Amino acid sequence: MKLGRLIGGLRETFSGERAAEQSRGVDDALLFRAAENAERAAETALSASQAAGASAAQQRTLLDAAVDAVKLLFSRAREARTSLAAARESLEQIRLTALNAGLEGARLGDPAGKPLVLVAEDVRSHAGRALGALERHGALFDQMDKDRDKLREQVESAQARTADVARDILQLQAVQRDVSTALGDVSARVKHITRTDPESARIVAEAADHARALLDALTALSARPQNKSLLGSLGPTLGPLIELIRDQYRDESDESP
Amino acid sequence: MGSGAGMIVSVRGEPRFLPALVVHSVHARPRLSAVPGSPLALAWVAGKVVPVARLGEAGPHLVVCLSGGEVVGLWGVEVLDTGFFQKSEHGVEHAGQPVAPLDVALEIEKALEASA
Repeated sequence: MKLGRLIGGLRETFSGERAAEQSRGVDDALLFRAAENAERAAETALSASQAAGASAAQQRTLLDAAVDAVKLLFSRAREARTSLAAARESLEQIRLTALNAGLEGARLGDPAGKPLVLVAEDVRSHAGRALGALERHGALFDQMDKDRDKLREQVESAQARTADVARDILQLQAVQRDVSTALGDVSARVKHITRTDPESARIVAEAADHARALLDALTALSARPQNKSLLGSLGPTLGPLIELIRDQYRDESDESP
Repeated sequence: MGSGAGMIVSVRGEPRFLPALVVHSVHARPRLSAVPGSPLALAWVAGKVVPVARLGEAGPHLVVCLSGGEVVGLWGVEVLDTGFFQKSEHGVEHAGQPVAPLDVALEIEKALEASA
């Protein structure tokens, strides 16, 4: 059975006695590919950490801007407090003026001073309400001061952490550069030792992958009921492959002493 | 009963009535300068130096009054209201409560005695 011999031959190639001597070329190709993959992965990791470093730098810039914004908030709050104090002072003065106007009205007597007393009372009442509103504003400013202090602490903490992250990323980049260099060296040595050119190594590794996949599929198929008819249906497809492998082994046998 | 013209002040937490003819003016609490050897202080009020007697611990206003023909400031008080108030048996009524008049001369005397 041609297919049975093919499966047996493939098994022998990958795991049997002939593996040691005949699959060395495949191992070399796989080793070469693994080294290349590792080198590529190291370069990808380095690119990723460089991108992370750029993001960290950007984040740091944003946090610096946030710190500046918080400082600006403090400055604005001081200005607002100053104008609030001026408004309070003016309202206190208005209230005093109203008290004196009421006193003057009282001194004029009733009914001559009555209108003045009433206007003074009205002004005093409005000034009192405005002062109450300013007191509430003052309380809000006090709360905002506390919130701003908290915000400043949090932003400064985030800033410090971002600086730590940026430093760690720089260290990571240095290590990854070393890894890339080392893996490049490994690839060069593998190429030198195996004397494999990259294109051939790639083709051999791919052929080995396909052969392993074929072996696994045929093994699974041979375990199914009615495997003979199933395997037989693959004859037209696998026939040329079997012929190619047979010719290959025949050539090797002819060459061997 | 007629109405009493003047102001209601809070002295040591109690409301007292000051007749309008006794009060000259009301001011914010000024900076006071101590007078060595005297319980009175001096304040610069509306361009004049005014002797000031301390009536209480705290209060936002200085009330300038006429007492015995002299101008004197009362410090440590708070003006609550001004205008016309219903006269009552013991003084006037304010916010439904009887308010006794404030004897300025007596208060100044007490202030002088307290620091003696």
